[in-house]
Amino acid sequence: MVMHPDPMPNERPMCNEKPSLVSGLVDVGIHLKLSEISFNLAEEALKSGEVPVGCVMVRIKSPSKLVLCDKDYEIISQGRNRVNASKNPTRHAEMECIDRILNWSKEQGITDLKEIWSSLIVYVTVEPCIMCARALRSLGISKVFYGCPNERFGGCSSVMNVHNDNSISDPIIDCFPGALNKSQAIDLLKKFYMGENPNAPEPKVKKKRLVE
Amino acid sequence: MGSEGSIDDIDSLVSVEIILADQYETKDICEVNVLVATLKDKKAISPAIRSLAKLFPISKDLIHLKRVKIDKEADKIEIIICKVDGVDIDQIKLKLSDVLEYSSVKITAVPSNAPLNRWQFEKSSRLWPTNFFENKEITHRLDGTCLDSTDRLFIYQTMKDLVNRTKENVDRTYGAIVTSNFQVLVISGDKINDHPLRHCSMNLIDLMASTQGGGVWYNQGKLDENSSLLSTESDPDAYLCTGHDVYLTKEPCIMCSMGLLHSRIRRIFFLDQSMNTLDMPLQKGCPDDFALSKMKLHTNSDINHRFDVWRVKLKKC
Repeated sequence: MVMHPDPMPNERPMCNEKPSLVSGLVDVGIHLKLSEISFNLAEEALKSGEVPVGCVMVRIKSPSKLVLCDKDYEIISQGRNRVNASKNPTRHAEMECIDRILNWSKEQGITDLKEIWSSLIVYVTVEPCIMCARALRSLGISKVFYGCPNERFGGCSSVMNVHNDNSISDPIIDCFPGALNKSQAIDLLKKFYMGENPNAPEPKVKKKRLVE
Repeated sequence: MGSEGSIDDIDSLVSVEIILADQYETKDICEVNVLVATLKDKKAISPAIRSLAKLFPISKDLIHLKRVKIDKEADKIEIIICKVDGVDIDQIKLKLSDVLEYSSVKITAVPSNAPLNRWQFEKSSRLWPTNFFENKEITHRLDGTCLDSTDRLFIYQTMKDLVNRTKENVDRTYGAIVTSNFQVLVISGDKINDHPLRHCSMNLIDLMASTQGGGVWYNQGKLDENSSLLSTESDPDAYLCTGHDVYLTKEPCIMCSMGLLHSRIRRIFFLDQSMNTLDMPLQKGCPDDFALSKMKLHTNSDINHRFDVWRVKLKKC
């Protein structure tokens, strides 16, 4: 195996010297890029008749655990909701991403994934549901950036606190709600639930019904 | 599936216990303070009820209580005036003396909620005469009589079959999805050695998807040594696990419970592991979240799909 020595920190010419960080972790420019990819995936889901939720899993590579420039991270997985196509109601965007990472690691010959899970930031347009929150926590994923809350099934505070419930033995997840554009995420969900009829009046009572 | 065990001795082979929301299971009751007046004699009861109905109509959250308590032993008749919270007792006494012949007024604790089971009814009645509109459906679920001996025999045989699979494949959790008329559709073990999230229920859900022309891990009829499809017919109207039950040799974790909820499962039967009388190997599979037995995820009022959860104890195997 060829070793590529990491450049010394002061030899990183592309990093901002005075970075403006989102959630104290990710450079604003990079954050916007990752958000955009997540929303593009959600749009793609919508076009395929799926609940519009998109997810990107980013591996942090810098020793400082901060993402300041392109060298500091790698997108290792992208996914979006695929429940209807697969006829499997558990195929949420996060689960799709997780499966891709497992396939990728097999290809790479990586057997111990612990370090990978714990180095991830999850970008997801909607708050993970209870199922996904438990899945992420089981794997040891510790950072989740999301857009809008999931009022019906949210596992990161909306319905249950799976992310930090201390009766669960796995390490807790730090969640950053609103890190991705909340209203953009809600608008996409509304489009889905309003259905095909462009003339349908905006439902007033059911405004809170957001689902993944 | 096994065929041993007969209907006659079914209760010596298996017991089942439903897991309901705390308010249906608890034998305890909550109390609230009310103001009661002691009436002088029986003749005072009906005029008192009439005038109080105008002056102090009983608050809506206390309609499970009878207005009057007649204590024959102590030769005492008491009547509820109103809740104590936020009222001026002296003012009330003043109003009362115009309409009522009473000897004294005092504060008494009464049951604050309508009883939801017999235990609560008995406890409530000792405190104050209480109405009990028994919900027969809840009662039959609580005492298990909603499952007849045919149901129990099937539960026993299915669980026993899954337990045997667990014993043959040490440390795997097994499960089956079954229709409401006892047709076993799919059986699977977990595959957590290959994939950390392929717990038994997640595999079952995907197997079901594959029978409906979908599936991710089991698409195009791909099976493995630990899974099987038992039904060759596919129902064109089938939607996820709607109307079906799942049997599991271990309580599902939060992820799996929620996955089954997303699948619109009808009932979950899981094997109770607390009394290991079956020489069961320790199953890895789901982590011990106690998602159903302690967290009671299925009783969360924010979640719209309802399903029953039963804990199954095998006495012999």
